[in-house]
Amino acid sequence: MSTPTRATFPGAGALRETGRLFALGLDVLRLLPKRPFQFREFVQQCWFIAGVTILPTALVAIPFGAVIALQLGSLTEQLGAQAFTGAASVLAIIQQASPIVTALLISGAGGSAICADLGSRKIRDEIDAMEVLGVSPVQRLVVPRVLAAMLVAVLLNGMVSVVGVLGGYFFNVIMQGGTPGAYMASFGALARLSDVWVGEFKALVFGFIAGVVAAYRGLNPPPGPKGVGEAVNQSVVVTFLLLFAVNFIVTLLYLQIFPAQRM
Amino acid sequence: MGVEVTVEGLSKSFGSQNIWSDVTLTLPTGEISVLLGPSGTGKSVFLKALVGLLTPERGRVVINGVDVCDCSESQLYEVRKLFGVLFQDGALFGSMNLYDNIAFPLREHTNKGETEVRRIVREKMEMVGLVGSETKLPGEISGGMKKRAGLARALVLDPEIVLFDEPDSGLDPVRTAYLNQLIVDLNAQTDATFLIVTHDINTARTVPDNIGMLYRRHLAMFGPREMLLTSTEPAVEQFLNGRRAGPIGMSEEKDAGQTAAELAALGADSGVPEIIPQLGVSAGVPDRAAVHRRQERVISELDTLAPGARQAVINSLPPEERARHGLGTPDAPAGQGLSGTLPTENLPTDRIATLPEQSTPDTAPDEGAGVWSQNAARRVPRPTPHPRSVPEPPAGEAEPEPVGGRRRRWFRKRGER
Repeated sequence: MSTPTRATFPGAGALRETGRLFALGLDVLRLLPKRPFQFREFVQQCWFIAGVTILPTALVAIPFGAVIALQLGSLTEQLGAQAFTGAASVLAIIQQASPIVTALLISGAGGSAICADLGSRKIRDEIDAMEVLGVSPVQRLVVPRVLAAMLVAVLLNGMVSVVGVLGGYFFNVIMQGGTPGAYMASFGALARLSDVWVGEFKALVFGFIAGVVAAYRGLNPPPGPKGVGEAVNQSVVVTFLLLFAVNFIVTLLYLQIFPAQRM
Repeated sequence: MGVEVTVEGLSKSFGSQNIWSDVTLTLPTGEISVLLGPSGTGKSVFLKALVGLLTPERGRVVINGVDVCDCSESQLYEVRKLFGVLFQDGALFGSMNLYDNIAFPLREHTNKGETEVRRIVREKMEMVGLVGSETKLPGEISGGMKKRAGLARALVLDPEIVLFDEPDSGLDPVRTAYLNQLIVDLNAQTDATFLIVTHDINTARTVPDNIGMLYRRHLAMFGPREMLLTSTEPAVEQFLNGRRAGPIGMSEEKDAGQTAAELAALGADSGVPEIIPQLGVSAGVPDRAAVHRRQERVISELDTLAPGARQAVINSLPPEERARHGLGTPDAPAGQGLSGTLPTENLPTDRIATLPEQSTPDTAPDEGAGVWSQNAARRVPRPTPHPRSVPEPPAGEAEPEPVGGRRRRWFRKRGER
């Protein structure tokens, strides 16, 4: 742990932060199987994160599904491919919209709370006290929170998918006069079960990222109470940036591995 | 039995700002040491470096053969089990009540049953006078109570090394006196190594066996209490006298010219006040083993001390010890620069006239939860006319001061531990 000369070149600070963030992510994975598992903390955190995210997520999911359905509906109408609206909107919702909406809310509502909680503990010396008492704060506090964020993200993703698809169906069929039969048929023709899996996988990864970033910023806040506020802000922004980058990569890989189904 | 802590050439900077460099000292086994220093000289940083919370740039901190600054994480966690740390404002876990806070280390590190845990926690809470506040949350109690609860938590695993980060800041003088007595008694009972970081002069003059002072980004001095208390080094002298004239300024050190002018103006008034005898243990508490070990150690290095310090050491020895080591009489002329009159005879160990609690009348010594009580069972009637156990503090202060009241509980988030 002896720190030799610290490298100083433009961007060194950013690299160092990135490295520490990854180190924390690895620590979380390493301490995941370590006993005793903080089950109580985990359940409490799940309950808390679910509590603050379920309603906003549902409220965001309905208009999100509707917007996609309306947009696609008018576009496919011009192309004369109205029958495919169902398939397209379902794919867009399940694969893309739903994990992203979930992750945005997990990080915006759950992550910011995690970050503020850990940050205020840090500035009150609670984290230091815990370390001095020989208890790893990562194992004790961070692991249950990250796991809770992952679990809630996966479950929420399911809910957003259902709500989004129903919203899309409603707007397409009722508002735009689409045919229910065609909607359902194209749904079955283009969408696959693996689409759901990849959506859930994304939600899992995004939950992990949101949890780790929030915990990292919370454990390393700038000094003072104002620092905690800054840390919360940064954690949400950093999570958003990472989400879209990771989403891009996962989507790219998925499309390479499972090429889109042809009719 | 305590553990020796050896610090070698420790340096720490935050960015380009050097906090202190090349700090070398040894905390002798089982003794009480005090680290002094003006505000902002990195005393708390030093404590954090000792327990491995901060990594210094250079140097070693060796505890039980393990270098805290350069060891694996698992080793570090093992070493930390030797430590009890009292943080500045207690650092209690805000989501647990006091009982759970104090029981936390026991539940984490031992397999004790809940009845055993309850017994130990109760004992420690009694020791710091917190009985009856078990179910309070840290947000509902005053700063002084937080500190005492933090102390109880630090002591619950019977640590070998106890670090106190400003135990007396934010406490009233009476409580500080109790706390100091508690520290001395604890040391006698546990024989652990104590390090107290403070800038309370009274604590520094009565409690420790050894004193160190951080100043100008290095350790100005570290040694037996007599060495610093008789020191003529301007910064040490200024600090222990708590006066403005001297090298320590409001923000940083002053320039040399101004210091010299001030010291000249001070003239005959300079000089650390006479040495106050060290605080003894309470009645019924065993003798401090560290006192005897320290006596041997200090006598063996007597030749390295300044004449003033040497004389102070000799004066502090009981006559039979003095005779055994063939040391001079206490009436020998005091060393250079020592203007205060030294005590000309050895004081009885239980006469410590300067402490506030000494002069209080003896009423209802065993009542009141606010008393910094030793284990009540162990307390015996005292033969002196000036018992150290003290009447119940004034009613307004003895009451635990709730902050925010019960209402707060409704706002607490569920799921917070």
